[in-house]
Amino acid sequence: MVIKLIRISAVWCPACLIMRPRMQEIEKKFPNFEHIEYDFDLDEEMIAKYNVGEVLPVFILLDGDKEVTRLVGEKTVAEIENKLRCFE
Amino acid sequence: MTYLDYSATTPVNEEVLNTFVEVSRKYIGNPNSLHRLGVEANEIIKASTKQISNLLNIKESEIIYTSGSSETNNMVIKGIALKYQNRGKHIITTEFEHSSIYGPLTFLQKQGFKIDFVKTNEKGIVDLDNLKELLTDETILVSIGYINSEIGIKQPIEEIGKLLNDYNKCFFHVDMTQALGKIKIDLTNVDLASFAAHKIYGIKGIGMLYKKDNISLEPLIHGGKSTTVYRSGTPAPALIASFAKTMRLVLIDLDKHYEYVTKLNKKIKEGLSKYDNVFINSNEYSIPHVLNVSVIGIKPETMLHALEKYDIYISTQTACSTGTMSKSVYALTKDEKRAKSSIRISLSHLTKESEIDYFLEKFDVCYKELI
Repeated sequence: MVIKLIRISAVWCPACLIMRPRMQEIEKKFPNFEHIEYDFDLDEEMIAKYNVGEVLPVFILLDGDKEVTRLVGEKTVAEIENKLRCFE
Repeated sequence: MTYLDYSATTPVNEEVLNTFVEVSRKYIGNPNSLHRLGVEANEIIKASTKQISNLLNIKESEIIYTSGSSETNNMVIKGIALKYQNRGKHIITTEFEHSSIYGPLTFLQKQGFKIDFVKTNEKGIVDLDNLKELLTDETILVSIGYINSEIGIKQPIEEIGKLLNDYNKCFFHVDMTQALGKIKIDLTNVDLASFAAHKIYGIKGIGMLYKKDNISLEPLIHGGKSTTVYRSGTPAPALIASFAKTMRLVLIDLDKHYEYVTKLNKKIKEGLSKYDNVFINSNEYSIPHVLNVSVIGIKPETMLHALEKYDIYISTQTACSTGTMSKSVYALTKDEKRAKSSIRISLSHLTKESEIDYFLEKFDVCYKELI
């Protein structure tokens, strides 16, 4: 089963700007994951099922269709990496 | 009605509205037309531009009219980036900016530009040492708002501008949308600045970019010369004349108005100080026109609508939030509860003391009902 890392961000969000280069690093570190980015405003239908809370960006790790972990807001590369290693 | 949302927009000054109507009726020609009607309409634009240049102490050629600050901010960020990307692809900003700064920066980041955020201290003020550390030969633009719209924090623009004078390849853009008409504006050390009429009792739909003559831009709207080559479209004499008028009027008695608003601000702060669950987020670096407070335990939109029932209008501010959490308040206070419960009360010299009394009276009712 492919592990998917969903990233939900918005253009008006500074934390999303801060996180983009860090997530590019994460993409390189986890090449086996499928990395998908959704825009909070443009991809409303696609993200409806993920029950996005109050803070962006949101990172959701899916094993098939099952959510296995979620990270919210600004995180360091190390924080994300530590969380994702368990599911590699 | 008790309107306490002047940072969102302001009511149009009657004289300004009359100017708009009068010019619209009288000058029907396209300012770019060669016939008499066009020339007359163009003369109105020239005279208004002259007036604005005198008020801001800049050259007429340094004024580019736009639809407002969102367009101006996009014009600066994308325009500078596209024009000067051969010099470098690095831009610096802060975490206290308007979404019309973050939007184009996100666009550029996806095109390969590097965006850095300069650190701010515990009061929300830009850390100049960190700014120096971030600046490189690749930095082509620093964009910092003069007044944060959410908390009202005023950045040390003059000091930042002086620092950036040593970096010839880097331009300094200041979003002055919330500053004009509230505090004195000095553009000496600023390369580019954004302004909007509707924040200073003008008409919605007109703004301007101040751009030093020696700077070029890639236009957002291509189509040839209008009032400048940088922004195409039929020039709008009535909007431009009304903008000049409102700018002239708003700059009269600036110090007196500031003093008066300071008094109103103090009165609200004193009035709210008796509540255990109310925290003032604006600080000594905030201008008195913006007062951001957190009412712990009450959702901002709940308080907003509760006050609305009494015909009182305030605002909630959200950034990086799909709901009610304020990123600016969080960045400043590091307190999630405060960030999730902040409201903004914004004042004007038009605000009456009796309106503040009424607000405090009804705030008390709402607070007791909702807490």
